[in-house]
Amino acid sequence: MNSLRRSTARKGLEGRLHTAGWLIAVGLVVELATLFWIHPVSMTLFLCLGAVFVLAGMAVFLWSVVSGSG
Amino acid sequence: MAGVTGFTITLIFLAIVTLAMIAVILRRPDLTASAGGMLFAFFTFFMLPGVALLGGTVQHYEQAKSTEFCVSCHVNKPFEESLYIDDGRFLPAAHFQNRRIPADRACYACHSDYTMFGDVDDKIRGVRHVWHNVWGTWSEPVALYEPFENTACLECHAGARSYEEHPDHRPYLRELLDGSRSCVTCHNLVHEVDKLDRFGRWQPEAGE
Repeated sequence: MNSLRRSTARKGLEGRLHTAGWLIAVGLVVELATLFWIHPVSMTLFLCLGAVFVLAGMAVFLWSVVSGSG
Repeated sequence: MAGVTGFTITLIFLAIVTLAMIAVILRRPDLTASAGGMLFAFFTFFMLPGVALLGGTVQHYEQAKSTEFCVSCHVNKPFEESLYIDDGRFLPAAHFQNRRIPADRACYACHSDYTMFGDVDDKIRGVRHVWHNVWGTWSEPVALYEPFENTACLECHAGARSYEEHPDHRPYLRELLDGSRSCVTCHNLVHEVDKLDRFGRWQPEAGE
């Protein structure tokens, strides 16, 4: 019973890490794309899209760690 | 590829390394079962993206000070052109052409309280400006929200002998300092974007 619960928790953690990974990856790709374009639109995309994705990914990661250790 | 510096290359390298580490964890999530694996995940999902994000913010912030950034908006093209008026009485042109301000930060040198560099209201205005520039919905004439402040001039001129001992300045030094008299009251040929076609242009030598 305990091992089943642990396995379910593990699967949940891995799912959240997966989500965090994709969010951060998308955010970093947006950051890479905007670094070469000196334009206010580029800065807006970086702040409103890239930074939001990266921060969301970091938050999901922290949540997965906290919820996994509980 | 303008603006590629050592800092940019470091950021690119950091982002690529982070992406590679993310790929490793996404392919082998079981790695995070151990304490060492979790530490690896902490670096991959928190530390490195955080540093990359901070670096990206600094990079964009610095780029926002560049002349290239400001004049990349259609609405600012005439203001860029005004820097090349072949007449020393024009304030921005005289400063730009004589390198009294850095050419690559010509706008920011005098308009340092604008949008990103001002308060929250300025940032909201900045986003609105981007919106209007993208959709071409800005209204003419483009004007400052607040009167031009003397502090931008005094940043460089205060304390300079040519400024403080100039007979035209001497009677007004106190008023110019406290802002009750504006520098542009007398130095009133500024960008004049609606009259640009009346003036010749300075053609910089190659390499300028």
